[in-house]
Amino acid sequence: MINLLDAHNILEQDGIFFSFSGRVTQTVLVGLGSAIESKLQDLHVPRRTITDIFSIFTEQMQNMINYAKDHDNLGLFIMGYSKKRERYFVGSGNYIDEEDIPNITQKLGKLQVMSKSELKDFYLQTRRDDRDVENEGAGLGLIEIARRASEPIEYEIAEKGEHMFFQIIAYI
Amino acid sequence: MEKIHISETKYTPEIILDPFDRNIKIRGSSYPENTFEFYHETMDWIEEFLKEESEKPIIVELEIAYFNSSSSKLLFDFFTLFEDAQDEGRDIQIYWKYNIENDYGKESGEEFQEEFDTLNFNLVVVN
Repeated sequence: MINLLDAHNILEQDGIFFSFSGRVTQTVLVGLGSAIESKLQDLHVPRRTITDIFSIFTEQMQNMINYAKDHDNLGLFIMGYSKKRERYFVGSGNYIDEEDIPNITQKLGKLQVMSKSELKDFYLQTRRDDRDVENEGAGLGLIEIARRASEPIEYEIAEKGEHMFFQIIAYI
Repeated sequence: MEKIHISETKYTPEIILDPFDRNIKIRGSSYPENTFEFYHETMDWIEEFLKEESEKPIIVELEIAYFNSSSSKLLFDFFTLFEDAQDEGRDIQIYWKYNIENDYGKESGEEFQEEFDTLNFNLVVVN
């Protein structure tokens, strides 16, 4: 029989206390978001940190929802606390098309080296210039994550069989 | 023009568009699945309303506890409409309300205030 406790223990080793695997929808986002908020409130996490975590969570989930629209995708999500770094983290992953990789790595690479004030300027500039109403502000979402994270966003792209798997983790 | 009232949900704000009181009110959280679809009706209403020539003030009250990045873009578009209408002679008063404990409410309000420095943009602390 599948041992749920073993699965839980594996997650716990990395400090993960929320996880999701499946198709991400707005309903999943809203439900998980509420659960995360109440858990953090119970832990007496400062309001500002809760807002940062919630915001990063929402942007990551909505990026996955939007991407899954034309990809019928698997979405993975984790949230937890790293004792080693003494920070909360929010991570997500999904399969992506190979052709989308240059665009995303270029965007993330640019964000990784920016200071907080550069990120602010870049956010404001992108919000001003982005006239493409159809793209749901995809670029703005990543900048939002970078602004609210305490360390540069970490990402990884791995080849899994014929597909490419993309994941990002933000530490707060 | 008709009065519009959209009820609040967990992830979309309450919206009141009142042509008689000349009041535009958005209150709550904003992270819809499809932001532009959600605000489409509101955007159309505001555009139409701002065309009406009148010197009477238009009161815009925004109290948005949390909004995602695409809602931020949309708010930007609303402020652009208000700025254009003001240039056309409308009297627009904006009240950006935030809870005293909500640092981000304050900071995001200040960022919009800086971006639209010709607008009558008032930051209001709510207890």
